[in-house]
Amino acid sequence: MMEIFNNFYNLVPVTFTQSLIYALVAAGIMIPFRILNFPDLTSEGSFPFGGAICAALLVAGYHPIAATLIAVAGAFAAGCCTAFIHLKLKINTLLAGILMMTMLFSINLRVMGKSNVALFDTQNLLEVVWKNTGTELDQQIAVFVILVIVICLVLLWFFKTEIGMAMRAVGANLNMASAQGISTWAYTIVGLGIANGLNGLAGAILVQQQGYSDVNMGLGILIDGLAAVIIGETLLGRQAVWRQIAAPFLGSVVYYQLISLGLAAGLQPSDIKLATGIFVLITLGLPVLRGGSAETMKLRE
Amino acid sequence: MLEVKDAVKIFHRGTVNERPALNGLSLKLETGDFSAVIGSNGAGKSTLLNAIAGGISIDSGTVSVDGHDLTSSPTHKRAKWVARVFQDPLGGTAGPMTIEENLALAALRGQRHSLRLGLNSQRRDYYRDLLKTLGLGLEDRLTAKVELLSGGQRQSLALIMAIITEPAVLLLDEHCAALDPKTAGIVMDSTVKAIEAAGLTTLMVTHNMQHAIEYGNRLIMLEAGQLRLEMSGAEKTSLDVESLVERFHITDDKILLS
Ligand SMILES: Nc1ncnc2c1ncn2[C@@H]1O[C@H](COP(=O)(O)OP(=O)(O)O)[C@@H](O)[C@H]1O
Ligand SMILES: [Mg+2]
Repeated sequence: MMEIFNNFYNLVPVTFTQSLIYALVAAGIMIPFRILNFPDLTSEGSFPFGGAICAALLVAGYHPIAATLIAVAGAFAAGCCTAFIHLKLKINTLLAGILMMTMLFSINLRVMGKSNVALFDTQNLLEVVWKNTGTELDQQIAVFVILVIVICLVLLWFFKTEIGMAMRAVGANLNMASAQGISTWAYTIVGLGIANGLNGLAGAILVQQQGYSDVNMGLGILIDGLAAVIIGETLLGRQAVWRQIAAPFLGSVVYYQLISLGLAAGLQPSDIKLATGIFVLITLGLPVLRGGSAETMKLRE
Repeated sequence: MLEVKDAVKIFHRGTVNERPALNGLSLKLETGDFSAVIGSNGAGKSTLLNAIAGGISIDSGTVSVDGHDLTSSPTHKRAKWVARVFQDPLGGTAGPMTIEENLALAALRGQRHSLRLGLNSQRRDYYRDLLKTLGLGLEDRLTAKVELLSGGQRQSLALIMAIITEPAVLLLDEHCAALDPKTAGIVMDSTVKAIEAAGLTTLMVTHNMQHAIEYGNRLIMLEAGQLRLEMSGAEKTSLDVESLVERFHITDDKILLS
């Protein structure tokens, strides 16, 4: 028992660092699911896409900041494409996301040229921030905590602006939004762009932090993100906009510690996806089994 | 001024389910005209309002407001001129958003949205004053989510949202039909007061003959997608339900009963 706790305790800082990066993915999943009412599966492709672009550009000699920003732009465009596929071709939202993420898999291989790119002697974002002094864990945590807090605050502000409010209206009621002069197309496209831009940013930061990019790094990320969102919502509620926006951030930090605890307690890494899947199933399915309505998942077709 | 010219709309054209909804309908409202619209079920009333608001595109004909041809504009572009209240109280408001957020979005209708905060104390004061005119106590619940309101409160809010920008054309499609009679009376009162105060050019579809006679300076009746009859001014003022029924040869049960 003591040993389990020690194993877990020793890993808390490492896990915390990772969970900060994945918090961006959770936010990138929350925005389409909860704010735009558009269940977007693109993240499984846009997250590694951000990583692939960033890795390829770093190897090609780009500055880490430029590589990261271009990765964000690429993932933003991927999100816009998913929205466009749904709006223009009238393809179901889920299918549009699956199509996009499947196509991105090939694109990611093209971008990297192979399935795995190591970043040994390229400079990364952390080294830029800390002027090439090492990349100790506490230095990483300092950078990521600030980054995540800034992004969370920007999102909080954004969804209170006129444009952000219009975007929320599109997710709440398409008819009402267009009757108020809001272009449901433009806001859906930009909204999915922003969400996937966050996914791409997470991918770009992760490859720099771990020192390599892998074409499979997006596998299962959607369910992880969804689990984080659900945990955050359980802790914070969804009554106010700030709670909804803070939920993925808090949820991600808690979720990855729970996973770490599970691993310390003897859960096999290969079983994690099953455990997470069952958790998401239970939280989404429980209200229905209790005889309530499936309110949590009423989404745009 | 609202002008609809030779509007034709046939749903499922060329199939066995073909449904002509507008059959070359023409209509003109001068600025400040308030017209009740009656007609049996399926006469094309909702289709006409949708054609004006942009919810459907007509097969041929034109729709223009104050000289702007809106025939091929999407709904969100027409919103600058055209506002509407839906029959369904859930239709015209964003349930998960607060009362003040809904009003802020309505007040921005037709303007470019910016990255400034959508709400400030000045805007809130203005919304409070507007809501006070309803007499429903909504002015004390600005930060309540709209989904918590009753149907009548929600429809009253939708009305305030529709008129907040003083639209060139206001469309009301049986906006009281889903409410209980008492609430419907309250919402109808606020509606008429607001329209008359601002002199809004209005088309109001109603199944209530009494309302059709009592309110507005014009009355039109649709039948099979065409304008069957219209009345205005003194002719309308002297009308009562019996003579209306006689004059229009109304045999439709639903109209008579309501
Ligand atoms: N979206 C639609 N698809 C197919 N047919 C429709 C649609 N909307 C209306 N119609 C048909 O058009 C005709 C006019 O309908 P509508 O304008 O709703 O009448 P009203 O509002 O006067 O009762 C009806 O025959 C109706 O069945
Ligand atoms: Mg109708």
